[in-house]
Amino acid sequence: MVILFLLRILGGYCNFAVTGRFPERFLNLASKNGVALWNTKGENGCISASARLSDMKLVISLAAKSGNEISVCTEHGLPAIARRYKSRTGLLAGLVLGSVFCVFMSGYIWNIDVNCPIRLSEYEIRNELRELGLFEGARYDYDTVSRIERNMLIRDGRISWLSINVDGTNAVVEISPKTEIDSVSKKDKTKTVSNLLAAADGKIVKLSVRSGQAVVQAGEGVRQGQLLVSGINALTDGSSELSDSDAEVIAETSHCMNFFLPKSSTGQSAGRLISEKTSASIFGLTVPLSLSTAPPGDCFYSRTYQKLQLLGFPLPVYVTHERYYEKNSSDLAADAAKAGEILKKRAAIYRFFLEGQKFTTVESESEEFRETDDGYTLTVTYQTTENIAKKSVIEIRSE
Amino acid sequence: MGKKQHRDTAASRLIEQHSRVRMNICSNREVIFEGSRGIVHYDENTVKISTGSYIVAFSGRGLKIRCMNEYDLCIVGFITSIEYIM
Repeated sequence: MVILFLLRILGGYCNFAVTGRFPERFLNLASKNGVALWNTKGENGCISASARLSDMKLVISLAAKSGNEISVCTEHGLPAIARRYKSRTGLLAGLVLGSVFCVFMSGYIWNIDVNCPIRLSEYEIRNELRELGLFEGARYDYDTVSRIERNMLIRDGRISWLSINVDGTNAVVEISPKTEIDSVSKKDKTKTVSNLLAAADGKIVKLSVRSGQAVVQAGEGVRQGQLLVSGINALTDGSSELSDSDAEVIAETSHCMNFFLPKSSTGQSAGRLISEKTSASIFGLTVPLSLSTAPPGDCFYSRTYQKLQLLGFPLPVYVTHERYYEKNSSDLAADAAKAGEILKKRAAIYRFFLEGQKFTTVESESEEFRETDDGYTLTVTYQTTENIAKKSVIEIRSE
Repeated sequence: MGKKQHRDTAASRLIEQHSRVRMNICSNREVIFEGSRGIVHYDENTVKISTGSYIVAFSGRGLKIRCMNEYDLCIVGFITSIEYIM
């Protein structure tokens, strides 16, 4: 039905009404002459119907032959529209030019989205891609994109996998970073034999051994480097078995940290705004929107990137704001109260990271603030419970 | 013998002519009519179709011929009665 409708639109059709003494005769003649009529409707001695534009000449002659006449006639479809706008050549030229423009522009990449993890800088990735040939306004070519993928993997050692998916004029770059693998897990785990040693002095609170033989018990005090779980298990028949020790040894420990702040130091800060530069990138072409340039000499620099959108769709237009600030060097002198405040903040940050570690909780902390000739020192002692088990691989040499 | 054969031929021609008329009625909303010899009357309440030997009259409300060709047509609308006029 939809195809029939489209064919009628493409070929053009005409709605007409036949009036006369015997309009049914027109219907019979039309059907005998192979004229396809649809939407026929009879009302008060008048029959309205639709027919193809190409059949209209025949329809008019058949109406006359049957002693009727066609009273209303309205044309629809593409040929009718073309006839209506025949004199407006500019409209046709604009339509053709617009179509050519769209076809031409669809061969380029106008929007690049980089989905990279936090560890990698999107700015750096974009710069590297630009150097390899992927930027807003670059011509899309399957081979080029494949080449860029390969070269990017060779060039940036931090990336383990990269894919550039081009959908229309949008390119989505998916990046997966390399994962750091420690030396123990790199080896074949089935052949690794290890002990667990104490990472710090402390009193054992809880011991849960999954693999290996425990040589200490809960309630015992241990020193740093002491053997906690052995990877060599003695069996009842006198022989021994080698295993990769795995356990959690939770112990009460104490951490002492010194935070130091000198009495006077030199710091750098951003001063007044020297220059501001705005530029727009339209279809890959950068157009400056302000007359100012980058100032000479050392200065702080910030850059913001604004992508324009229309109804949620990204446009190939970017506005870049660059701001240059004066670099100020100043001597920073702190009094005891201010230094204490700064050092306490540092200590709070350290505690936050300490508690972020697995199985570690800070039970209590004690602070000692003292002033020396050079500066101020805050000594914080943290009473913690933590997993002190540290893996120590036993190397076995076979001769 | 010759007379009987002639009678048989006439009868078979009549059956053939009658069997060409087929109506496919979907509820009282649509009729697909095959074997039309022409429309005798057409308005929104009545459609009369000639089959050659009789006329079939469809009565109802809002009757429309959706599409038609030389022998077949499709009538849609609310059909209340179908009448054979000999």
